[in-house]
Amino acid sequence: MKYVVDTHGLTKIFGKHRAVDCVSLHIKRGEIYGFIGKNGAGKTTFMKMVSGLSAPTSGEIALFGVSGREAEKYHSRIGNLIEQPGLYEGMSAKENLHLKCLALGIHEKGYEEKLLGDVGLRDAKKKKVKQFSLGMKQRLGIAMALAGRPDLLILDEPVNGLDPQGIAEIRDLLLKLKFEKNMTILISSHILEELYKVADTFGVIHKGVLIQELSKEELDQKCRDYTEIKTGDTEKACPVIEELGYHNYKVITADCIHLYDRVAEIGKLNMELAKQGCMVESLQVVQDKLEEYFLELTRD
Amino acid sequence: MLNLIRMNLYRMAKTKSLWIVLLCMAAFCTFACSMVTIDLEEMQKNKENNLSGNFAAVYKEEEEETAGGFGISVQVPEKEDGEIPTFLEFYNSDLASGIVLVFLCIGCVIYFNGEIKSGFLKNIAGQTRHKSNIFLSKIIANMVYILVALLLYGVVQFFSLWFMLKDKYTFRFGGEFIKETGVLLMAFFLLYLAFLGGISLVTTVLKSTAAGITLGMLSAFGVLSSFGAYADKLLHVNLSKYMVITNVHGMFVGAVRKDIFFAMGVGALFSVIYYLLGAVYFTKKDVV
Repeated sequence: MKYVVDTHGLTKIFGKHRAVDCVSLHIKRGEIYGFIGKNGAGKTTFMKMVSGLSAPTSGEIALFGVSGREAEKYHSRIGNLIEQPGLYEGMSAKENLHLKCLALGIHEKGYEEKLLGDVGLRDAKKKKVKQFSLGMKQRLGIAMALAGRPDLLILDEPVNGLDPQGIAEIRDLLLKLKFEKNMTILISSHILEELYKVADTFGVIHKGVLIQELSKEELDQKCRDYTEIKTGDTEKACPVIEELGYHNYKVITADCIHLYDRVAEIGKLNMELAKQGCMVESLQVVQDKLEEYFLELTRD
Repeated sequence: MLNLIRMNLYRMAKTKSLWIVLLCMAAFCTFACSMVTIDLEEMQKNKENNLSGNFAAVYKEEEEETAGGFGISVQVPEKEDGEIPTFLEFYNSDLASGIVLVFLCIGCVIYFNGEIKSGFLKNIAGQTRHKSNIFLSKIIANMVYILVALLLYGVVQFFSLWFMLKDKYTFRFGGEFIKETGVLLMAFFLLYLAFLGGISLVTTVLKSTAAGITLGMLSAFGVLSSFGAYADKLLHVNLSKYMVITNVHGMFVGAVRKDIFFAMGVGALFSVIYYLLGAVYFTKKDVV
């Protein structure tokens, strides 16, 4: 079995609206799959169908290499946090988690405390959920999704409302789950840079259609960081760049060069260009290419 | 399935509002008993003054007025010889009035809608093989709640009347009492289960606490029975005979065995129908 999730022409129609339109997506075992899309693009609907919370209008979902009605058996191996965490406000974090454990038939002593510890809520286990911040609720939602040691974890915007420290902790947790437990994770987020840090494969969905599915390497190729050199004379600048040992560059226009090799000493590059009589108008590292790439893909 | 039932019972035990509803019901029961003692004293005075005939006439008049309108009336079971009714007669009278049903209806709606409103359903629905089991487990937990409420009402009523009426209180414990109580409890249990099954189905489908409680209250107050009676007249049928709430109100003191067993049948049938509808809804409907 190569793919944990393998969909073929998955479609969901609400009235006349095609929320998910013929999506064929592939998630390999043990990878983190980043799902990117604007609000209302169809990410949540897709995730709900894979989790078994919603039935597809048409198409097929194969889970853990099994398709058809047999695949429904494997829904029990999927933990999910979709949209807001579903929690009882009047109960404590531990009680909420205990409910989920009861439903799954887990009676292991100390299991709930361990899960709460994993998401950084050990000290808040007795606190009522109504006193929780948005970030704490989100953490508890992740703990609920992790209950029952799922093989596939589906997280819809899990870092929503988290502070930078919280985001970093969740990132570390996801990477730990991936490397230590070989867990497969499907995650969506609006924070593209954050998604980039954890995901191995990316799927871009727009208006219900999966418009691109690419690996991190492919994405790096398409939107890696580069140094933009604006100079009046690119013909003179190119030999200088070559001389300094940078060969991976592209002349974009008559006065603009994109240098894709990592420039360790940007000051030295500037000095060398100036020595050879190249007037440098600007020299900058462009970093927000991922966002640009995404916007370009989803432009109407 | 057993795990889901455990989960629902745990949630039930941890839901404060359900305890508050039971507490209010117990408080009401005590209050109703104190009103009963006043009524009994009045009856006794009338008896002593040889006015029992007049009292009976006034009582009958009041009863007829209540039967014609909406509302719940918890009354002292009428005894022709002026004797103080037994515990079982008081208990039967209160359960048939629908007052316990009103409290149970509030608790049931709060309980059923809690899972949907909080979104907790999303945490378990995907990982549950047969989604219909989620509804069934809630129905089973609700059965426990009904049973606890029925027993609690009985216990509170027993001790309240015992405390208030003292030596005048008649209570005949024995094989006959257990048998009578068992039949009575079973009949009311099935009728209440069916009634609350319908209310929980409406609450689940509409995802609205307000809708569930309003419908439950109006039904317990007899609005649905009136519609049934109206339909009977209009269509020349006997629809109200098969309505759950009509059977609850019809389980008055001294109801014949045949009617009690018929009511049990109606309760059991509607419980199954509502469960099946709920199960289909849970299986087919997306979890949002």
